[in-house]
Amino acid sequence: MRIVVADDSTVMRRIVIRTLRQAGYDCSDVIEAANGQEAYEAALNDDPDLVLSDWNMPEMTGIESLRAIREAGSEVLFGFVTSEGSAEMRAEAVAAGAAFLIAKPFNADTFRDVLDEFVA
Amino acid sequence: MTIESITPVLPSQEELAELAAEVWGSFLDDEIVVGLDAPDDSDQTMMVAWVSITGEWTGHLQVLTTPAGAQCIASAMFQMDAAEISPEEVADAFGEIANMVGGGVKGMVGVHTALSLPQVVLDSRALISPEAHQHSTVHAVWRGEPLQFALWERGPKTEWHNNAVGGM
Repeated sequence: MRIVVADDSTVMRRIVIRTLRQAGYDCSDVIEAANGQEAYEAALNDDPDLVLSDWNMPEMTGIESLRAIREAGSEVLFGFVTSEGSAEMRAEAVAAGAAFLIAKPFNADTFRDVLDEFVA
Repeated sequence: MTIESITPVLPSQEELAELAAEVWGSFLDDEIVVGLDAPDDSDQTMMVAWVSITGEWTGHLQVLTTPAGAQCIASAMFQMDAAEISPEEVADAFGEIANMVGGGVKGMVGVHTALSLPQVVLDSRALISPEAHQHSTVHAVWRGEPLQFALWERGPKTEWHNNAVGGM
């Protein structure tokens, strides 16, 4: 499975990848993105199966990246992994085309509970 | 048409401590000991990481610890030996702690706000938060290093707080 992990924090990208592995997902092909612009480019150019993105990032936020990806015609599976999980943000994420929002902190069980519905 | 104003609800000290403990349990695979009085060694150099919350309520969430404590945090989060951790990685990991606890605070406040990107400063004695006062402070210890979580509110003190600063 090819996964784009977008977060401006290096340690958080490592933790997301580590947690995906702990949850049992194939992480043999991971593309790291340090902001929404890099996530947008990877989503359109690298044909990922899944994009996991932080919300609050410099240059281009996660929600801006998602909107740009959808405007470009991509239907890639996109989910947020972010420190904020309010009902308002979840509604905004879904309206923009996100499949889910995982709030930090999380663990392997959290990932499985959310991702198993979308990832084989 | 009547516009109803929603009153911000700030987390109590106990709720702030729960947010911090949840981050530690999830990402550092360890527990912090909360509920201690402030340490006496106030001359010690402390690193501070913070995020600002702005909008219908404005404030800051700060996390303070010693340089050794911040390095220990980065070592645990990166799962690398402390000696291999660069200052940039310390700032990244320590800032992410503030980001996660601040994100939890933002979710509890309940009014429309935005969360800033985290900032990190080497020496907390140089830190000033203009026009802000501390709402809640939690002191803790992790691996022998002091930790402090402080919630600051910009503007005058108001009536709606769950909890005033106390000696938790």
